[in-house]
Amino acid sequence: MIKRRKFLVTLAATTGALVAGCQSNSTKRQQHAAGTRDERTILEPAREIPIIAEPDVLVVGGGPAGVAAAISAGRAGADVVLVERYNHLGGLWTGGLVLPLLSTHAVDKSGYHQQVIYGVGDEMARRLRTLDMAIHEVNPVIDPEAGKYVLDVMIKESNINMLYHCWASNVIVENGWIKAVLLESKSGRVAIAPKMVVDGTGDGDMLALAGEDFQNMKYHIGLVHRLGNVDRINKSAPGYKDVPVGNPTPIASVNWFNMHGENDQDGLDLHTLSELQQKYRIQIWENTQKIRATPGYEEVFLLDTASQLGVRMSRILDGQYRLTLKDSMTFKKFDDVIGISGAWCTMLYEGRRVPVNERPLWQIPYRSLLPKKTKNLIVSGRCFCFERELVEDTRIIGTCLVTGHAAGAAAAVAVQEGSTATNVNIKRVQNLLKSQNANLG
Amino acid sequence: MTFKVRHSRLFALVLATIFALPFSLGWLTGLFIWTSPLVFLNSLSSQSLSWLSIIGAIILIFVTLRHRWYCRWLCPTGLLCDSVSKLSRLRVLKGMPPLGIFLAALVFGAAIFDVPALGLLDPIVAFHAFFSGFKVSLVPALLSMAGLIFIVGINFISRHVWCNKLCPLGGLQDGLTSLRKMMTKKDERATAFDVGRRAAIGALGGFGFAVLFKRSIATSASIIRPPAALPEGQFQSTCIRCGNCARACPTHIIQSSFDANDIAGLLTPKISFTHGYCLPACTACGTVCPSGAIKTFSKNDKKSLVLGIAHIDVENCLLSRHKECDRCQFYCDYDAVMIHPSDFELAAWPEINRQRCVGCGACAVVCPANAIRIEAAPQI
Repeated sequence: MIKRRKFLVTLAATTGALVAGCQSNSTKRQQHAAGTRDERTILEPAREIPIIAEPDVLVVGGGPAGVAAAISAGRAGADVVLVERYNHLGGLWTGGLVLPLLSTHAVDKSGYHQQVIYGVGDEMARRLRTLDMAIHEVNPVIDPEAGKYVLDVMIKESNINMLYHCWASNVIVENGWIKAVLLESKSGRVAIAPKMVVDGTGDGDMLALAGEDFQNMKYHIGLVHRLGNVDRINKSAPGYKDVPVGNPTPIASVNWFNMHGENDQDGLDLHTLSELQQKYRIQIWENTQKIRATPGYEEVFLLDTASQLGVRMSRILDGQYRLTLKDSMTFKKFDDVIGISGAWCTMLYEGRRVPVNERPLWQIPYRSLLPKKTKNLIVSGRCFCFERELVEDTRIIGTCLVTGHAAGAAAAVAVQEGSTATNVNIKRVQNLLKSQNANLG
Repeated sequence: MTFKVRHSRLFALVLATIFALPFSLGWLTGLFIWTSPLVFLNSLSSQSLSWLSIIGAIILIFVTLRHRWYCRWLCPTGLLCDSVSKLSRLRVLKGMPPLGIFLAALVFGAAIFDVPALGLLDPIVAFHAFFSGFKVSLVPALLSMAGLIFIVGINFISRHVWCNKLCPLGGLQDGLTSLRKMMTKKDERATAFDVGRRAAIGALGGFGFAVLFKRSIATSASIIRPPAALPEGQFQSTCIRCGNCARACPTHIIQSSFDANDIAGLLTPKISFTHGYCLPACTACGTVCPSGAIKTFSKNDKKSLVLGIAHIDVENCLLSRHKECDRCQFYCDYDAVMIHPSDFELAAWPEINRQRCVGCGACAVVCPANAIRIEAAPQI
């Protein structure tokens, strides 16, 4: 016979477990999003980490911004280490198969295309053109393997220490200075102790780890893929019909196929990224089979899915100056201009439509790359400080090349002067950028 | 005295012109129109008063106590008429009865029958309509300017004929004076009777007009009106065509209607999304509307005020061609655009949530492919 007290305890425990079970089912995704706070944790013991390098400049992330930053700093004479988590340079441009380089040119009202992206980014585009691996002069579409090759060559030429296959996982900050950046690698956890750090992660991992404030912008996440044999589509096959097969690349038989993907996705959530990756890859395979089943398309095949998931936006730095749509509308001139980029997207401003040719180009001030607290961190790429209305112009590859180039040059000058990122002599940075063919207007 | 009066009216003219200029001055836009006691009474009879009507109410007290006080101190149109009369060498028409009170009664008669549109006979409204002509296309512009040109021009043919014989605002003041004198002095009754008879005929004429006007209204569902506009039909009859809403609109989307399908709504405001869209936090047109055709509304009200509904032509949408675009969704302040990812052909396509869309036009304006149009909301 069960005693009353024991029965009550059992009842309470069972009810509690049931309630908890129901909650864990319905709020599985929310718990994931909330991180480890509600879950069980484990304390990692402190340990000694070997310092494998003490360079002048450490660039974290080998996307368009990081590569441009590394090349600029390297050419200015700095000792540079570039860290990349995947096995290629170019980030979403190459590994993400987002092949068009937007926006190299600005279109004004008379329809004149004025080149705006100069400097390191322009050099990349020109080298690809020389290889016949870029189609169109304006906003060229490149071949991703050619892109990876050209960037590897340029990094090698600039005597930069390249570290592939490692992930920057933490920073050690003392008195507002980043003393070391910790990397996870096949050699275990290692540390690099640089004088200056350039955040080229796109997601702003460095600025977040350094304790800077940011917004997390949830946006569309897609997965790009390429189709092969698109030149062998037989339009005279009986039963042929028009089916979308993507857009041309420099290789005649290969098309790239963009995916808009789902909106409002958290690009910083492990589970979201994993679920989307899986879902998209299955969708792409199945869609390709549908294409192959269409008369005339039998030889088309799935060449590859991008090795990087297309996270369009995530963190935006809360920096020293927030670049606004108004700045770009009014062609605001900044004393600390470090680059000019082009508009490629129709905007709304004060209740009216603004086509690209009304605000063809706009300046980026150095302050928008600077975090508020950390003294030796410069932010580049799509996570620099801008207002969301500008996102379609600021997240694109051309702008990443511009901010990357500037961040690298500023880091090199700061190292030479022994100053913080904020106190660097902006005139010297601008002169260095000009000597490296950057466009400052 | 004369010296001071002239200066006062000159000052009023300058002030009225500044307020009437085709720019937005916030709630001050077209402010002078509210000084007209005729506009006030017009709104009163059609039960569309707003807090700015206080101005007209105060001035109504002045004109009741002092004969033709408005004409002498404030009327900018009167000053223009006097100036033109001075240029004219022709004589005053003799023997013409003063028709002002008749016209004033006509205006109210129609207004009581819910057609205050005749308010446009008010010289102050005509004055404002003239300036709103600078903001619209040619033919409606000429039409809205015609009123003031007629009022001022007619004085060239016969000196002071507008102010003395025709002006309903003047007639109203005459009527009020007669009324006051009738109540205070017995020997004025004869004149008062004359005036009363004209007023009665005018009022009957106004009723008649209202009935005819209401019959002529063909509610055309294709026209998009400003937010908080009265229902079609009622709107056309209530609007006095002063152009204040078009003046106040910061995005210049309010145009004068000039459409064969909308004869009764000639020169009423309609919305065209060619220049911009209706800002979610803007309440300007409702604030400045003196007739009540556009009701006053708050920023909070605005969230649920429906102008129309967006229609997306998915065939032309950039997304259906696998181009990168999200402008409609990005700029929708009402969360009414969803971009659906699709398994089929890996395309995405935008869809309008008909429950949420208010037809503000932001998506239609920004769409780089011009694949979105706004259609008038079906009348409830």
